[in-house]
Amino acid sequence: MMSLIFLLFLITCLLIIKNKRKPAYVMFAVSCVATLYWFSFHATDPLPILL
Amino acid sequence: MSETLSRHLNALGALAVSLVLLFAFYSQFVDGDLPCPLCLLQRIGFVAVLMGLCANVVFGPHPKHYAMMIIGALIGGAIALRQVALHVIPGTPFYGDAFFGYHFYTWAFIVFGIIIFGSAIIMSFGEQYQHDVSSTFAEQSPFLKFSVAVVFVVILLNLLSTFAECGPLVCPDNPTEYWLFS
Repeated sequence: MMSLIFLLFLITCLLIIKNKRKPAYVMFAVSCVATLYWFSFHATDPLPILL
Repeated sequence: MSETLSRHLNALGALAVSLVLLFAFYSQFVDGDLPCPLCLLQRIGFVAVLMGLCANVVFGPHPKHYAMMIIGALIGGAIALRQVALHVIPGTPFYGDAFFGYHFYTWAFIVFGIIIFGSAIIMSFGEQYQHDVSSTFAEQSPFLKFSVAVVFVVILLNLLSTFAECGPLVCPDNPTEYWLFS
């Protein structure tokens, strides 16, 4: 899943290089949403610490 | 600030952020520190910032592209802050080596803060937006092409190393070996 997010950003970079402005913006937004989803997945892991 | 100067400053910024990611590679492959899931997400935050910088270089400076940089830095900063919070409790073990007294996640938070501050300053120069000169990647100067090519290679290397470490599955919280070679 983590490598998928890098792949999404790589596609965004390719779209920028190919001068596809709107698809690049859309892919950037999709990549950010995927990042936030995956951040929430990892941020809600139970902490392995004792208080 | 002219449109050309702005493109070149953004290209310099792209090279600087790429250097941060290459330094993380140095720590990963030379020092043998495998990045944790939150570390990888912080790298993704830097990559998101790079997209805004590349958009400014290729499409020309635009407030939308600075917004992309700030959004990327805010996401990355939030992830770094989460990791700082995990390790800030006294007696909690840290993750990875320290660099100039701070761990990488603390440095990441500082750098994301600098990116937000820098973007806010540079985007305030209105003259860079007055000429909407849309040019293709092929029409850029060699330095601008070089900076975008470096960004592309850095993202590709991150994709490959992350796949080698985690594969298509969830990355382990405390990785000790590469998924691809286990």
